[in-house]
Amino acid sequence: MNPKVILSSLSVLIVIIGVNFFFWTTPVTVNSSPANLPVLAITQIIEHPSLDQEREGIIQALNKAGYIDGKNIKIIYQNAQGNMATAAQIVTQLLSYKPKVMVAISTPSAQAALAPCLNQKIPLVFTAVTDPLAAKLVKNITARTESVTGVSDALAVSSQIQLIKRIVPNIKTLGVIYNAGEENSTQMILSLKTALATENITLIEATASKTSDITAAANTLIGKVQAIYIPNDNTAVAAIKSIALIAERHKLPLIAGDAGAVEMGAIATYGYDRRALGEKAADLIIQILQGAEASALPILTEHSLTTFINMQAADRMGVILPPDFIQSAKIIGK
Amino acid sequence: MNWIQFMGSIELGLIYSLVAIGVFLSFRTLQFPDMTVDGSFPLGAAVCAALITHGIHPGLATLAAIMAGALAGWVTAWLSTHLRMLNLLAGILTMTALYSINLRIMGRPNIALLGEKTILNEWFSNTTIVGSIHFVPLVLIAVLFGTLVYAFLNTRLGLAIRATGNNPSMGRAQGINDKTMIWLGLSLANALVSLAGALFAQVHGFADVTMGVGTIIIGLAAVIIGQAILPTRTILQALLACVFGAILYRLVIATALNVGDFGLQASDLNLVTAILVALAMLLPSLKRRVKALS
Repeated sequence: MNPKVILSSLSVLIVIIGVNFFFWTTPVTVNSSPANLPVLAITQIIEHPSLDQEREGIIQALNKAGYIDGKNIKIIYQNAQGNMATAAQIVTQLLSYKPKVMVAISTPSAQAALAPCLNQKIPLVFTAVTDPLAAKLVKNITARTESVTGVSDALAVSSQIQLIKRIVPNIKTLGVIYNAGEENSTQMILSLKTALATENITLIEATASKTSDITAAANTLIGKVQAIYIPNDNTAVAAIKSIALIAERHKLPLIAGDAGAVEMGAIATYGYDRRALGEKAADLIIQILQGAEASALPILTEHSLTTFINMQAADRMGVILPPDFIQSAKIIGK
Repeated sequence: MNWIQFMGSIELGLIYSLVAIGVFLSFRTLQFPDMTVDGSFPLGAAVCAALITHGIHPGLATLAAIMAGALAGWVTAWLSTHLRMLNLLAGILTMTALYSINLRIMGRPNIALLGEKTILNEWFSNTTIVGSIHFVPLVLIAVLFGTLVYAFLNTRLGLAIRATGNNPSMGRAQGINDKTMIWLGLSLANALVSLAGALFAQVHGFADVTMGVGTIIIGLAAVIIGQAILPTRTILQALLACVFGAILYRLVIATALNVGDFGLQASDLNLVTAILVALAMLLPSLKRRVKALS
């Protein structure tokens, strides 16, 4: 075969594949699902352990309730891989399937989905959103007319202080590492600061805008603090291993606001089981699928807290945990 | 892909066409690799959102966003021309500083604009035309600013900017102050990018400090795709190529979002996007080769 034939057939092939991708993918999906299954659309901002766990929790709970992907429901999931413009585009793509419910995991995903969903009258269920009011997802937590509901994951600061004092009883200075560019963290730190002031504990902040800056931020705290607390911060949690290594070297207790962080090397957390939060969101989704009006479903803010501890991490940081504390906790991680 | 998704991509493409024109001005016209863009895009959104939530008219807020972007470009130009910093570093420094400045401007990492006045609901009616509320206003804005840039590049001053990019020493020999031209060019480029950020915040209802990540890549991809597919012999053609490149890039992502049924999963999105762009870039060269062989 001469090169000309190869080249022209190659270009024809590329054009065919391109046209295929471009125009025929959506119809193929619709036709390939038996009958017209109701669609459940999920949009998530980025791959992240806690966000992934929420999604897994949602899908597991749906399966348990008898909603199985491809059988009696079609679940379409998209991830923006951290890009806000892509998140906006994902919403239009998901809406083109005319979903019964749109699920948004994380604040920016929910914000991108809100206006288009209200426009097209698709109920929106959000989760992994700390403050739905500040994010303007709803105008009022209790009395709502718009068909938006969801699960808020705001952590009560008092529970965190209680945990910190349990591990380091005579604490006077506490260090925190977080990304000042994350809404959920800045809110949390603000209320933590006021609450700690009443207890005469000084809060020393170290901020990092990306995971590669976390080590430097952690090092600034050494020698100044008696313990380090990591709030539910995506950047800090992503680099938790590097913080744990520094904490181990300097025998500083590392306490976290997220079970995933404990699994990766923090001593303990008194926080939410992300899967359980996902299951709660799934409850809302199921009620909407069964005909409930989203505006009538309450936004869930109160969740039971679980203590998670990592024994090996405590050992490496030279912390001896009280036995009754260990008994009441779930032990995870290495 | 259906109509809603198609129009959604076009809307987003029109917003990013302003970024593409900005990147075209700095990278192509001035030959200045300007990284400020990643900071000036969220800067526009931050200024606009902060002012709107303080009750300022959205038109004024958008104008302020444009001015803020111009200022950011001016800072990069100043670092480069006066402190003789490497062009790349100057842009990177401004972009880095803007992250903190944007946080200061907003007072928090995320401002929601839902239910607030925007230039779109103030100046344009909320009627749906060709399946989209924002299509007509965004086309008008893109055409307006595209025309302004086109007209400007054809004035004596605009020609001087182009000459500076082409051959700085020749420009100087002709009595052009190349430092002033870099100031002007970068200010204009970042003003456009900042405007795009302000529009994004108003169309999508929020400003977030992390929304600038990858703006430079989107802008560059749009410029390069546009230039690979369309002729760019004149300035008008080049500007049109920017707009079409930006729209095409959004359509590529929309297409990549639709490939889930071929055994690909959501996390493959960026890879699929890259492959589709590579294929699109391959087409013109394949066409040339086939032509050369026949």
